[in-house]
Amino acid sequence: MSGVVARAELSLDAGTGLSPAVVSDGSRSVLFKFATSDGEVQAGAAIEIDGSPLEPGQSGTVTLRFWADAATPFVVPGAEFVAWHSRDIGRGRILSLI
Amino acid sequence: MPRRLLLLLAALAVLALTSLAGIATAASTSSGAQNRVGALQTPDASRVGLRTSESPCTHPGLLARSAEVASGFCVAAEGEAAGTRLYRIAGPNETADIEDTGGYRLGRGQEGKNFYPTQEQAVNLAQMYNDAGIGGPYSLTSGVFSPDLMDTLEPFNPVGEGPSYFARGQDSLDQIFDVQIHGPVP
Repeated sequence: MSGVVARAELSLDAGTGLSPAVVSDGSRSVLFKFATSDGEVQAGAAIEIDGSPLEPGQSGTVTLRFWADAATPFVVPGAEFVAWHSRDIGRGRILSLI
Repeated sequence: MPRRLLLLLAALAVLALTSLAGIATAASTSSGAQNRVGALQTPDASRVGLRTSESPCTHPGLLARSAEVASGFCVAAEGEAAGTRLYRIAGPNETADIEDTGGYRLGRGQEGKNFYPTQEQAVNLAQMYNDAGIGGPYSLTSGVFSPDLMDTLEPFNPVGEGPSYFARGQDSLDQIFDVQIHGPVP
């Protein structure tokens, strides 16, 4: 297995009009943006979620399967990120690595 | 009126009707050709002959057989008409949908799709998916973007993937033409 897998807390902004399908199990449609000293780093991840998809205004714990090895330095416990799909849709924090 | 003259008039009438029908057919064909070649950004243009790499100007049976011959329908050289080909990895459902429709369509809840300037990047993404145990199997696909459509794309640069472009909305996807499925990525 490559990449890095993490548990993360994810809160979706209310009122974005986002379809629940975007943050559902197996989705690869969300980009995660981590702030760095130089700006930001964007990393793609597949979302694994137990139960119902997250809807705007909801929060939950999800598994993020980042597929790029290059994401490893940024996906660390405590790292905060902005979730993006077509626009910023929410915020979150890496809880632990799996 | 002599019977021979009546027969001659009838034959002339049949001839005239046949000619009119031919003109109508040609007009219809030329209209389609003009739409396909001269207005590459229209949704109709993106839906014609998508399964092949043939340019409409070289497709047998069209009025204009060569892009170099300005017939009123193919006014641009083939290279200019082709625009920029961008690449995308598609999972089994999306690949099947492309096979069915000949184009890219937003999946449930999606608001856009991501494309790469090189096929190596797209293949690399599929390999990262495979290595990370994410879905699959994946196919390499591509489509051609007109210069105007390229101007609307939003650039991204995810780690491990390199520069990529986000095509926002179904309207953008409808403008992509010559969509091809190149085959599965091992």
